[in-house]
Amino acid sequence: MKNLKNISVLLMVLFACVSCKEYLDVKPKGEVIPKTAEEFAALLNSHLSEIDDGYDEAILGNAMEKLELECFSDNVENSLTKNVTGMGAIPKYVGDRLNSFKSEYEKLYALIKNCNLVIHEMEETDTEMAKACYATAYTLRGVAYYNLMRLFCEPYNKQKAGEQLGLSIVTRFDMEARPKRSSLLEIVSLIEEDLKKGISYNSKSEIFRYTVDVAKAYLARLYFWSQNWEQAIPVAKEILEAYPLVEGTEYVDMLSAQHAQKGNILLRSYVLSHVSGDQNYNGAKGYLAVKPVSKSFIDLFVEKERDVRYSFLFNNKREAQKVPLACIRSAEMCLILAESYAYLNQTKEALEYLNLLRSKRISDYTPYIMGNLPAVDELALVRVNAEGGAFTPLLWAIHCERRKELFMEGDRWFDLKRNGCPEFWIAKDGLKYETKQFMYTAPIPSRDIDLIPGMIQNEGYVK
Amino acid sequence: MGLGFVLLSFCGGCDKPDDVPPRILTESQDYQLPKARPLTLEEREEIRLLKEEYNNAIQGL
Repeated sequence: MKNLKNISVLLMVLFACVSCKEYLDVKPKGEVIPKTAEEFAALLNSHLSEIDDGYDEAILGNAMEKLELECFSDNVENSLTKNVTGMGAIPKYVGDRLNSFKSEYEKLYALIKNCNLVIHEMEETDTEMAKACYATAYTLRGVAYYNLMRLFCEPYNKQKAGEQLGLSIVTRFDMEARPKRSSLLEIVSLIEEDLKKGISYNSKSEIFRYTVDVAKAYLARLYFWSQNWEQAIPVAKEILEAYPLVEGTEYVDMLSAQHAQKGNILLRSYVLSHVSGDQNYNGAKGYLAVKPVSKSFIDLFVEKERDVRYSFLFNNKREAQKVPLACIRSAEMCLILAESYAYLNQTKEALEYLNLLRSKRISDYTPYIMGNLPAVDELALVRVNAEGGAFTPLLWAIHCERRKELFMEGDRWFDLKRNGCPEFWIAKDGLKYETKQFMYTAPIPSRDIDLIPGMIQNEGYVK
Repeated sequence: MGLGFVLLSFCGGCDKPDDVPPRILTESQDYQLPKARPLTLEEREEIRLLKEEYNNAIQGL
């Protein structure tokens, strides 16, 4: 009996010593913990290949995503939508999509997590591969926060940016961190810092796509969004000089190419054929005829056929012809220059860049001077400019030119947001759907609101 | 009794050391948006005019 007792105790001790004590530990399955720069690069490449294959939705976007953005805006006539099979795929107004922006939120924070891993965990520093990794990680993190800011933060207000809500800032990989929202001003500073760090590596590696020039273009976009007109000018000018505007058939070819990155495009999605990218491209192309282009958009083309865009962007049935494109190109830089100079009251320079763009699009065009600018359309949807004031004829001409030039590139929705978030409505099946001012800013996903103590939701959203 | 305890420990011991503890999911709800409401007569007229203008513009094409 005593022996049995001793054996039992011994067995118990043995079990206690050899049993597993780390059953709660999470062990990576089928994943390699990166050590070399090449292995860290793989973390970024998974995101970049989504862009190349045309199905990234959050970083640069894709054809379907750009079409959706156009559908939120006044570029298409949503009230005249034709009923076709599969219509559920495209929204009738922004309200159809606001709750599902959480997908972009999650994807962008997943990208930020991987960028943080590269920035803080990679030990290799001196090789070309390591430098390209750092450059891409900083730039992509800046881009991720820039995209989050435009979607989930209110439009930038120079006077209130210190109090406006920003985002949760995560700059290190930390599973336990639960950061509350910063101010909008802090987010802008973080993006600027990241893009400048990315630029400092001077990466020209096309494999990583987010080269030094792309980072500079995003920096110009950031300064523009945050109304830092003085700083936007030199950066936009540098890019425009490096990627001069093209015109005529070269312009049409550039924007019609299904995969090729042509002309003055710095970065575009869908450079490779892929089943998901093909679906997005063909889907977007197929849906173009479903929503007519709005009359207010068509009426902007006062030069009609003399403007190359008039026949390229839509046909005489008011069906859009240009397939939505996710890209960054230098015409946007030209428009940033014109508008920035206009806000600084440097009218000569503003007119110079506005006329430069128009000279590349309109044959036999008459250059604008202060005396022949068209009057501001007092009946237009947009009534206040980015600084909250009334449009001058010069700012109005630039605003209209931007709308024409960046059609089907997902710009108009954010331009409405930047210029006063005007309210409007559409009709569908006898019902009125309103785009209210607060709907220009998407809700922070409820999971983050529930999990993070003190996390503040954007105005207007209740469960 | 000792043997019974050992057997209990053996049977009740962890057999899946790589299991991930269950994740605590919060209730994720959608946010309410302004409800669509029926068009008023004036709004119906506005839409009618919009359709008329569009149909006239593309007529015969």
